[in-house]
Amino acid sequence: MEVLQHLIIGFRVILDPMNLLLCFLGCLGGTLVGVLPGFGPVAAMALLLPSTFHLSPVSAIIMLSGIYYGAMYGGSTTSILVNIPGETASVVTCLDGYQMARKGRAGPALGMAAFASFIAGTIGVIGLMLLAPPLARFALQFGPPEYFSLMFLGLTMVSYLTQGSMIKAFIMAALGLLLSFIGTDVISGVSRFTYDFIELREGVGIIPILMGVFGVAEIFSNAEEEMGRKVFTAEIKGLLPTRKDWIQSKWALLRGSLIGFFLGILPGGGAVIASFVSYAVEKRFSKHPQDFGTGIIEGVAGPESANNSATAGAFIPLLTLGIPGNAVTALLLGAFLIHGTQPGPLMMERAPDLFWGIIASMYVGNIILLVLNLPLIGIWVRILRVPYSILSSLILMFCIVGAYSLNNSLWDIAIMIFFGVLGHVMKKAGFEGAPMILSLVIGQMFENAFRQSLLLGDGSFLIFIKRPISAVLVIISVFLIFTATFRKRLPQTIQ
Amino acid sequence: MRKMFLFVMVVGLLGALTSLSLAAFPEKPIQIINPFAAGGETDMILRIIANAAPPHFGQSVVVVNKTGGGGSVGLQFVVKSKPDGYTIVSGSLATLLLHPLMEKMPYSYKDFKVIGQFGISQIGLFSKADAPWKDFQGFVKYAKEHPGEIKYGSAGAGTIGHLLMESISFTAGGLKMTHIPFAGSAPALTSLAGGHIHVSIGDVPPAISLIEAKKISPLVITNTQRVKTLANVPALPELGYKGVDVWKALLVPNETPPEVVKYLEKALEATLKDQNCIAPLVKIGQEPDFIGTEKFTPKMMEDDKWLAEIVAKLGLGKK
Repeated sequence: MEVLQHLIIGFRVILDPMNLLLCFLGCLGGTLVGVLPGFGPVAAMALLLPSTFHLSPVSAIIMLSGIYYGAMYGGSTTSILVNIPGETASVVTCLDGYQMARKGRAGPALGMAAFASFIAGTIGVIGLMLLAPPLARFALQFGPPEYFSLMFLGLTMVSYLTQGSMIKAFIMAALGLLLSFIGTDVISGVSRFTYDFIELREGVGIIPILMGVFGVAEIFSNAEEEMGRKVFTAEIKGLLPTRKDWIQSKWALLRGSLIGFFLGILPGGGAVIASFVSYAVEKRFSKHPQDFGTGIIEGVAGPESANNSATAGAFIPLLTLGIPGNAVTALLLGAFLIHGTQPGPLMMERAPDLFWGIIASMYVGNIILLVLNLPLIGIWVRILRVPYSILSSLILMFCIVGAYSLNNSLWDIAIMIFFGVLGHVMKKAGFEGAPMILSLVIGQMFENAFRQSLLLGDGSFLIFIKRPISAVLVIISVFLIFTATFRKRLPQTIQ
Repeated sequence: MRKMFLFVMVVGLLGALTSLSLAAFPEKPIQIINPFAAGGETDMILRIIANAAPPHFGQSVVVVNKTGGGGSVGLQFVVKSKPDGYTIVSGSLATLLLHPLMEKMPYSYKDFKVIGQFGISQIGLFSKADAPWKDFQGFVKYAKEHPGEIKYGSAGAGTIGHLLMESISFTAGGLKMTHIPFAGSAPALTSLAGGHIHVSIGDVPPAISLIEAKKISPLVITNTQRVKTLANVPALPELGYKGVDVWKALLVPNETPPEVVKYLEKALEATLKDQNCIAPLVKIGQEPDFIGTEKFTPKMMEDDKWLAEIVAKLGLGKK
């Protein structure tokens, strides 16, 4: 088959010792960057971009992409160990992953995260390889109305993110939406809720809020109890997922990979939304939904698969059309341009070794990352044994540095601490952070898409129904809302 | 006691002498503050300039990113910094002139002195592939004959692209088009490629691969001159419309001594003529474009006047 021939070209490129080394360095660097809270792959890639000037385009892109995949693997490590998402896409992994760590099952959680990432990443690359051009064309069909309906569907997932009261989850979701309005409005050009703080013109940063609500708040809660109390049960039960874990997770892995891949293709969609949707889907289809949030393996397997296959999906619009779907691919696009190549449909013809070299490097990168991460599990798990009084101070220090590294500004640290305090108070009152994060992430896109669609439709709401893809998404959302409400009501009426 | 007095006098005299020696500028490395994120277009250009700068500036030049607030945090930082010539900031038409017109900013162009322009952004108007017009004139004609039908995309309300489009509309006698603002020029281009909007105004470099893929076609360049990467596409002034060069320039705080500013201006000019600077710039698709303070200042004032007019006309900006 033609594809196999091309793949052989690609492997010949990646198996060149220099490229292999660069891929390894990228993956290693990416993992470290992913583990550090706040400092993300975009910052690392940007820092290393000038040093790639003297490399060939293939080598440069292979290294930079390695950082991207590595960060996705590394981001889940801190989510599981200390409830701090290293990456926005790792937020959902905190929900069950951290609880697993507290029960002494950090090893299996980390292991499943690594394996899920590997399996999903590989599925993603295969999908990219076989289906890139038609999928890219499909992605282009998503205009504002389709994005709105998709975000609407995403918001209906809020109800699946909570363990406790539904009303409280909705209040948090509303808070998230309100927070997402802060900043200069794209549609009108007016600054909203910025109170003349120029730092707020781009909105309240998601990452400082994340680190605050999940990481810092957790430290505060733990500090409130006795310091001597064991946050993590000393008995570490095994380092790898058990056979039972694998059986339980098999559908989560498959579904997560598919969800992540398709959502990753959409420019602006991406790993974050994919991970939330995957979690919600797993909870919906689970035989024991009430266990979600207490530390079950599917809650890690699903989202981790989703965020890694989304990484592969994000390459599709970049490589086939030259359209960046997120900040990372935008930087990669810049890297391409700097090295004198235009990614796009003609790239496959004009520079096949570049195109296929990158694809082959994704396979190789996934293998490298699996091999890198598995032995590290033992080390990570041992870190949890450090007395919490010392560990918490170290974590806090990393968070502060991480927050500062975002904009070289103290402002982000202030936001993080503010939300840390807020998150702590909220937790005491039974409000969870995940619904707020979901609506905060979705909020801007949701509002913009809504208003853009109405402008396109000259003020008519029918635009959401008249276009086929949008209509389908709306129908699914309405159906989900309907069944969710009904499900909750039914048991009560029977009683 | 006397020895002490003499000692203090000598030290004081030496101190006074060193502060009088202006010829010693620069004595330490110079910082260029980039208000935008590392790895972006401006960032690459600045790093190339900084790399080629030492022989001309007499010291090493370092690029520091101070992001946030859409570029305003970096400018605010430099406004508040010591006006000794060691802290320079990269400003643009948007960050220096447009933002203070749109909302209350802790600075305006009056707080800065311009060292010199170092480059221009390339911006153009693009159309979706299967459109009923073949070129810019055809598009304007169609827009006139079908009021309210055309939906055009931009990088957001109040951005240069938006203002340029409205300026084109006014010059053409008032075209009734619907503005669809997007959160940046990339989403707008993507939407255009998908055919959801008719035309979009945005940066040239990311559009090239879409043009080659025949998903979009270029109608006109909004700079005052054509660009090398799309040499067959006319520029607005050729067709009787106002073109605007969205410039990027290096700025220092207003109180910086004039001799220091002059020194930096000469150094920048020399750097932009250096092959070590030109070659990498061309490789990334940019062209060095130096304009010194004298020629630049009147140009900047004209741009400010035009911006103020059009912002007022559209009812945007500070009330």
